[in-house]
Amino acid sequence: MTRARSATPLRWLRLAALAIGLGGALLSPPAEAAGEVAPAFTLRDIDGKTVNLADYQGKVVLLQFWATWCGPCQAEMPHLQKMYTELGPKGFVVLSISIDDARASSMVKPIIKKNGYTFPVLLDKDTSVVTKYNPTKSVPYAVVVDKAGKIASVHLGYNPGDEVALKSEISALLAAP
Amino acid sequence: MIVAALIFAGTAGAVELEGDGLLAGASVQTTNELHIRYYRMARPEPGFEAQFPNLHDYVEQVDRINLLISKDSLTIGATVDQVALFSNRYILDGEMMHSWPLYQDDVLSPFDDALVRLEKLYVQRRFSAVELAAGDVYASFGRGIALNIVKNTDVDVDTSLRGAKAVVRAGQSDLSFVTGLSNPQWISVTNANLSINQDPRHMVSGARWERFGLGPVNAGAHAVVYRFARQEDEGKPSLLRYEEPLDAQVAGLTLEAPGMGGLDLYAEADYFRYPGAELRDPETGADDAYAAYASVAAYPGRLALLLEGRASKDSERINTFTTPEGWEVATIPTLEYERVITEDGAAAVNSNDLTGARLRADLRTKWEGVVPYASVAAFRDEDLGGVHFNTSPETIGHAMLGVSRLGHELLFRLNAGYRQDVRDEAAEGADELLHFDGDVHFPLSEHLALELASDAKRFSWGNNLSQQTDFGELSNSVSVYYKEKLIGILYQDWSDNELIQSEGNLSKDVYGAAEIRYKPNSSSTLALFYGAYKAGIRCSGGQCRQLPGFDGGRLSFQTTF
Repeated sequence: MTRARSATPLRWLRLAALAIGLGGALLSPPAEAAGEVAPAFTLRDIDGKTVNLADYQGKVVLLQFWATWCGPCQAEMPHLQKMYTELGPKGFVVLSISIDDARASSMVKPIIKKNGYTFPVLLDKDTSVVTKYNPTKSVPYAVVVDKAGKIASVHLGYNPGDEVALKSEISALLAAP
Repeated sequence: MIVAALIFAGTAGAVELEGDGLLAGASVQTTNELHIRYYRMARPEPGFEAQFPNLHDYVEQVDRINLLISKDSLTIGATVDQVALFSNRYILDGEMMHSWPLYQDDVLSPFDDALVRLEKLYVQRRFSAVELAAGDVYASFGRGIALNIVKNTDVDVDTSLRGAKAVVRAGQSDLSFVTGLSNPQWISVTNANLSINQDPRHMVSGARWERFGLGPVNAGAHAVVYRFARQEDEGKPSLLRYEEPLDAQVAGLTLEAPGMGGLDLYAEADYFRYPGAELRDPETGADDAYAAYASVAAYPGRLALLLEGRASKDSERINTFTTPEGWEVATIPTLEYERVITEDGAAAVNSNDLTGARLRADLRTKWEGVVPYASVAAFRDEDLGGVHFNTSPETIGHAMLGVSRLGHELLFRLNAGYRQDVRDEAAEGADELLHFDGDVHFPLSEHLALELASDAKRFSWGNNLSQQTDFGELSNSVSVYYKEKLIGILYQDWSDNELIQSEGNLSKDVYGAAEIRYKPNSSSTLALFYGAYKAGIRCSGGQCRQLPGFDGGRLSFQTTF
């Protein structure tokens, strides 16, 4: 018996595509997802009030996707609260979007209350909004929307210290005309 | 794949469609995940063990592209998946052989070892008070007891309804309609893709009305009907499901009172009727079922209290057809700490006769960011069928303590608990579970930080016919963070669970692995992993899946642009 190395043209084509894809991925310039229109959405908050993204036109909005079971999300939230308190009067809003399953909905508000967070918290129980913004559903996942309603940046994951760069970016957007 | 390559090779950044058509000026956002995995397989070919010890090792490459086109009130989304296997063939006595089949005969692909599929496609249009969507949609009513078809990527489940959805918002009322045929993802991004087959299409239709602001109360009502596909339906047009007799009808009521008297109240009751014979109780023939859930949250002083209760009888039968396919259409809240579900705990999660409650109290201390909690849950499980190992009903108690510290340089989250399942029949004894999980993150210097994480459990079975062996499980990791860009991680798993469906790479019970993660920018992550981790049952959102272990190497890249 000998080991086959099936070198059909099709296989080589796939291998070539793989190499190009990987090379392109690593060599492509920094991807910041800038400039796209932030897709419109309407959700209910944890008190049942309707919240439209369009209501915040003219403000800098941070959409933070999180879940009750996600440790890094909860590590990030105190920093978002500090930013919201400090930069809120200058036109900054945090819209915290829980992507928890409907079955965990009752756990969301106690987490917010026990930590003393005051930013709006929305429920995306049927995953309709996360499907648009963050189809891989990885959390935490933050999207910064500028005053014109366009996506300024996307932040995948959270490592302690990330909040420093995020705050600088938001401050710059607030200062922009 | 080729498309992915072209997109990657192109310039990243904002893309705006040009021209003067309907989508002129629309912006395009792309998210891409690329995974290349090398699987070391413990399957020597008889007679060739010494000559070709790694004959059946193979490489898998998976790519998922999510495309989103937005313009004003119009959104178009698509997910395209592609998978290819490499080093998957060998020649035996002059004949070309496959080590592993990527897909089964009912799946069509022009490639022997590759498959491309348009997994999801939807178009959504928003008007002033109406939102319409056609294509792949998701839906969840109330607490998901009657209908809960959503993405659950935590356990690698992404089933949508391929059909239509409408939401009408008229003043204080919301009215939702949804109908479609189930469309599970075929290609898995995080787990091995082998023997992919066509899934049967089940019909689901439902409507929900919600009225907000009835004084302090929000009220809702919903109804859902199901027609499930059988094996004999293979080859028939899926749309015939709409003509065939219904298998299940569910109607439910919800009441919610956020902030009433300082309390957050929620209550839901659902009634199920099963015209479909396969869903009825096999012993009594009963064709109805119920499920009820209620929660009360209160915030006295620095405390946050949450009391939840549930009662259900035969409502889990609604998943009879879809559970073997690896997903569920609806489930009542479990009230479980799902991170420590074992084979035994999964029986209660999927029980057809379970009543119980859980009380959790969190305390915001005077030390900012430090929150200890205590939780206690009790259940009565009368079901003896399904995956239950016991022959008499059982009473379950589960107590937990924990503490977290967030918002500071030193972060930690610690949880520990004890669970006991006491059978009515004294000779059957009790199952016992002792568990701990936690992680600590602290800075070492200006640019370096360390994170230690551990997850341990010890499980003892009671007496039962299967006489399984008691077991322990341990997962540890040490992570070193360099600035916010680079993370190096060492993993170590151990398990002596005889039911486990994997074997360690360091010894039979011990698994080791290393990973490097690099964030070239805020929206991209590159990860390189080598080693092994154990298989295990994993539950999320009430859905439990037996996820496979892994032995080999993998490269992953995720980006949004």
